[in-house]
Amino acid sequence: MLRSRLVNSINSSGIVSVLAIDDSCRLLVAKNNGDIEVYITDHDINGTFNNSYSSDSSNSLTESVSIPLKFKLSQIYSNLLRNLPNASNLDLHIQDMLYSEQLNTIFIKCKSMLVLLNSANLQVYDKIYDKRGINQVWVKTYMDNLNNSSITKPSDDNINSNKVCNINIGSNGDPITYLVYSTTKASTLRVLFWRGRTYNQMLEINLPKHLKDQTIKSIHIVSKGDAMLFTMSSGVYIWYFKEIKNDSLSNASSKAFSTQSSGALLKISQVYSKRYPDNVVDAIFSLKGLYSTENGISTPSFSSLGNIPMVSNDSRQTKYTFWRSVEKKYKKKDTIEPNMVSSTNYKDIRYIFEPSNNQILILDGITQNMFTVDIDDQESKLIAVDKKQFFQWNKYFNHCENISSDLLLLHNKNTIKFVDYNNGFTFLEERIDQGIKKVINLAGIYYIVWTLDDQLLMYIYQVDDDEGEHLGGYLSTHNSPRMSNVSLLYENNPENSNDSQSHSSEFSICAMYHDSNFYHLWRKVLFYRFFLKSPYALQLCISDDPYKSLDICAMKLRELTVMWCLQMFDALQNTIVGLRNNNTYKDKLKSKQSFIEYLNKLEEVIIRDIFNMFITMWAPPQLIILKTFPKEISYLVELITQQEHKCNSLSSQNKGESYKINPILIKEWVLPYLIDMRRHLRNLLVKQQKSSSEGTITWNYESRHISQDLDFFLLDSHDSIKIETMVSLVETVLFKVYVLYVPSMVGPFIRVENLCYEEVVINDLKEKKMYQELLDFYYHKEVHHDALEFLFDLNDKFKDNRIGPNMSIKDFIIKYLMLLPNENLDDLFFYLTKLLEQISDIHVRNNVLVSIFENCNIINLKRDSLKIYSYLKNIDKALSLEYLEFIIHTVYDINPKMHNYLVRRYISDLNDINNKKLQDFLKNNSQYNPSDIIVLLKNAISDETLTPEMKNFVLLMQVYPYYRLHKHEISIDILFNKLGDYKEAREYCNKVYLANRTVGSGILLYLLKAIIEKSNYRAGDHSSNELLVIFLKDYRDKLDIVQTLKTLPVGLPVKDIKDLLVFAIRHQKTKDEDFSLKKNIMQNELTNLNYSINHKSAKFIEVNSNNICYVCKKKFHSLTTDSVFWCYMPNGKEIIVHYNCGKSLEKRSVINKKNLLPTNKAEKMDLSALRRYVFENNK
Amino acid sequence: MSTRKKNILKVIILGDSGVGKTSLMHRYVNNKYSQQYKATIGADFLTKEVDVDDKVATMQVWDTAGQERFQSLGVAFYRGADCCVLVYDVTNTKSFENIKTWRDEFLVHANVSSPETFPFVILGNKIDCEENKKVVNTKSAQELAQSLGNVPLFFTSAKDAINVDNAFEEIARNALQQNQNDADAFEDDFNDAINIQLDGEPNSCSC
Repeated sequence: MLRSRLVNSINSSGIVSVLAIDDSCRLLVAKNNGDIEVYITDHDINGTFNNSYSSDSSNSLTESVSIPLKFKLSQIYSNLLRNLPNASNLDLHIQDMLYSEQLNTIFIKCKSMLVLLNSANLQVYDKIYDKRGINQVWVKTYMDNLNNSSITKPSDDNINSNKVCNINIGSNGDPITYLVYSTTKASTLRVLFWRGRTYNQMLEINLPKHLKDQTIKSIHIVSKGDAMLFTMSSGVYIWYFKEIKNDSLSNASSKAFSTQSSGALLKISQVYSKRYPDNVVDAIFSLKGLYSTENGISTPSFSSLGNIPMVSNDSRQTKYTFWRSVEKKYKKKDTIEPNMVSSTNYKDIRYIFEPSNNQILILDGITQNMFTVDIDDQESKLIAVDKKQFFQWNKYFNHCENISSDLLLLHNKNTIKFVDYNNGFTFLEERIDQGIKKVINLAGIYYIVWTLDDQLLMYIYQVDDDEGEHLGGYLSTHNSPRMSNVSLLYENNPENSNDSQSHSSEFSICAMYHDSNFYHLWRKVLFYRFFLKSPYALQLCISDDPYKSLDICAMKLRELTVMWCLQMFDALQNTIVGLRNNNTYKDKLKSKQSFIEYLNKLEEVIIRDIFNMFITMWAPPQLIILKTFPKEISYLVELITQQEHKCNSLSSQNKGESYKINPILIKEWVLPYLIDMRRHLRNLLVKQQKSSSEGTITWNYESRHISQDLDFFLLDSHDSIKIETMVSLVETVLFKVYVLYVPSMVGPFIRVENLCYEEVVINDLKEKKMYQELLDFYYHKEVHHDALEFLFDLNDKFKDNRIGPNMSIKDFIIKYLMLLPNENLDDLFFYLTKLLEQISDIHVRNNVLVSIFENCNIINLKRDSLKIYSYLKNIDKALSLEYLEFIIHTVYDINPKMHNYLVRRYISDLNDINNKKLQDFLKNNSQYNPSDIIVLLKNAISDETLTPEMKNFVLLMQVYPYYRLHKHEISIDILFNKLGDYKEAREYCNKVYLANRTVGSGILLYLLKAIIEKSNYRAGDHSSNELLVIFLKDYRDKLDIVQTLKTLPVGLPVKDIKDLLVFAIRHQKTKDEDFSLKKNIMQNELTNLNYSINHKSAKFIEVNSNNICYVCKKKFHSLTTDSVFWCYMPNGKEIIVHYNCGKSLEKRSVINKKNLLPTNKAEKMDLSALRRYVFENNK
Repeated sequence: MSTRKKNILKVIILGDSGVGKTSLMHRYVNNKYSQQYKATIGADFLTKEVDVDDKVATMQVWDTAGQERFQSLGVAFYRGADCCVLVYDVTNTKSFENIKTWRDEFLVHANVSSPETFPFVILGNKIDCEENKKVVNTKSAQELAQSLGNVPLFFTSAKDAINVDNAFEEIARNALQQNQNDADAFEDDFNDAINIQLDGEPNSCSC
């Protein structure tokens, strides 16, 4: 735990107020004679003293280890307020001091005045006078862009009733500083706002009469700075600084006292309690309470179990038995603490604070509750959690302050205590013999005690040496990060628990349980959590290597947490088993639905929290599986690791009737643990496989990032196992959990990469008849032979019986064969043949083949189609053709061999349908190899059995591959010369011409020659040139006129080529006119350009002795021959400068280089002979 | 007094590295596209208000790192997911083949309450690319979508904004349905009003 050490003390009599200014490391002490003493530290304590309000732990952790704090007197301001105007008429005795870092201001509180001092030089710069008298004062700051940090300093202090609090909550805008004070006479609350460093406004609200005599116990700025929450003995109130809607005020949940223009004051009167405990410890207590009531320790009152809130009341009653025993213990202590204040002191506490979890809490001694404040414009409410335990343990303390996220500083007249705010466990206890007037918490790890005899004692608190030894012991016995022997868990070892709370070996919650070990663990866990979470963790460490120590602490916390959780799990299972064995509860468990629901809820909370902690702590899987899983799963640990675990058998013997976690909870909360462990172990496995050496993964806890290897997951005193074995264990357990509780997840799990223990998986799946999952398992393990043999065996056994939803075994075989990859094609053929042998119906057989080979499954598409084709051809020729067509037309297979096969198959069986298919294929498919196809077609023509029509068809088919080969002349020969089909030839030429005009013109000329040759022209024979005339008419616009005329036979009548000639002349004429038009337009453009050039050239400037150089401001001499620059400035202004000035200007880049006249033109310019220049500089 | 589950739809995008998960998310949420490839680290999310079938919700689109598979994101990350989007690249066969694995891995890691009915949507991305680069057959994708239980399938292009909005509308619809199912099964831990006298007076309640 923590231990504090006195490092320095200051003696100064007559102290009235002490103020620590963290940011300048100063301590201000106000005296009753009006003097103010300023103490400063010897050391640079920025790292430890400053940043007190920063919640950013990462920054603080980088700071060095703290140096003991020592203050020395630096300056005394004698009777500081004496020079104030009217000082003699007013009571200016200093009552208290407050500080605002944001405003750099110290507020001095007097009877009816607040004096504002500059914090740097303590000069008075303003004052606030209130004739009604000033009672309580607070300064608060609402900071922006910071998240949920609320550190209060110092705490509520009833001695002086003055408070200084700083609040940092994320929002937008400037930080707002609030000065809040209550008046002595008129019971008024007044707040002054500063936004940034600028005073903004003042609001005032009158408190109702019945609150007049009460003091405000604590205040807190809430609702993004728009409201103030405060507590008094009579209740919790909220003051909205802005006006709020009327309907909110009329809400029954909040009682409005005042709706002035300065906002509204409401009392929060709605208090709720959680129906169920929301954390594991409360749930365990409630559960034990259920059990103990039945065992006569407390009066059971489950007669009204229909009313759930009554249940929680009952549980409180049972807790009382425990608290009473604690009380006894403290009463013993009372006898040796004669100065201890009365036992009702805690009833003064109603303290508002905001720990790190972004919740506003009120620790309320009056009702012994902790309230969570839920602020809502419509309905603000308090959610109460019973804290009798807290107040019983800390009943003698009446001052309270939240000093870091988890820690409360409590003190009374002679003792200081640091406790965790949630449970009240003591982390530090320091007795001050001189008596305590006030405790001032400094940033970091220091606090100052202002004693009753006016001494200021500086203390440093750090983690106890005993803890260090403990850690050292841990290190010496644990050279590896393995989880230590858990048999300790089951020992009741009072020696381990000899501190103030854990001396509870003699008091227990109920007769059956001896919980000293549990409390000991619980407190340790909370302490280490606080320690590691603390922003001052490094400074809290007394160690040469604090980083290493913190790592060890994190590991220790892991170990303690796991042990603690397992103890709670044990308590859960013992209680549940006890309840089940109890006759009264047996009936209730059967009949009372509300009781069952309550029990289930408690179980859920416990299991949820325990397993979430296991996830955070990466709890060792072997241990967790052995301790928490049912026997039908936990046996796997020994089976897979081949290790004997005695602790398991020991504990299980004691169990009697075994407890099993509710299946719903296993699914919801236990599975995530296994899934996460699998992820971590798989990551480790991958890293080790990659690096081939010992890879590590990082375990993150709070600020610690610790590299871990497999040892982290193992148990002490057990042999090492391989990472693969560990992965196998976790995955097999995961599998088993899925099989037992979430069967629908078996499939997905078995399909992902896994190292499940094959024997277990296969047996389980067979037993459960989960054939699909079994086949998936075989498939992913790539033991296809085993899978198919299993299926065929099953088929022999069950024949055609359906074994799944609409699935026969044959369906399973087909489905499996469909998924066989190309590498197992031979296996596929083998088993397919075997299957087909068992099917007599040809249609069914074909359907099987089609379903296996003619689907678009990616696996099928990757198979060797040639092999499949050959296989199918042997079985069914028609089917193989269908397969070819599927592969080529649907899958777009580009294998030319498949194309050749297809063409060959069409040619070998020419008929109307195949002809059409062949033509479509050759015409539309661009993937086949044309040369191969031509050879095939030529071979086909040589077949004597073909009819002439068929031969012509095959001949025609050659045109398509020739087209792709660009052998157009051969195509024209075929089409025109051999087949005599001018129409087809013309279509062909058109197609070529469209694709490429030049090639098209050539092929047209070739066709022209062919026509001439074929028509065998004879002069005067009109019938012989009929086709030629049609051709010339068709292509008059596409033919090359010169070449055409050269080609045309001599003696062809002019009337036959009239159209051609007329078109050619017109076409030529049009071209000429276009050319002429273009020429004229360009001529015009040239004229325009010349004009523009001349216009620019005509610009000139006259340089004479009146001109002044822009740079040197000197005149130009008329009798010099210096060159000048005439240029434009970037702003368009024309300037004239000397040549050298221009150069320097250019160098300084004042004038853009582009704006300067090109030097080759300007430098030779003579003033006596001015010339004109054209400037294009801005273009 | 009850606290209803907020209408936030958690959508998780999974798929091989470089298939365009981040681009799809940015195209949908910001209607922006960047040619530059930058690998995602861990996970990142953007939100967008959606209005599907007259129901308004906030969609939280979680983009994940394809390289990492499921290495760094624990069960907590996937908890509360309402829809999972599986993305492949039509020019990358491997990314398509991995879709099934992504689905199974997601189901294992997310520990969803009802794996049989959990909504998935498959997106075949990069359809803007040249035809000869598209190596994943459309029919194969349709067969896969059917075999996974008629999972909605969309062919998208984050680059040219093709079909992205349609796809995400379907995703939102599925997520909303799933969210509704979860909300129906969700039971509040009701708080009960109790009578605590804050002024410390004895409890005047007769009950």
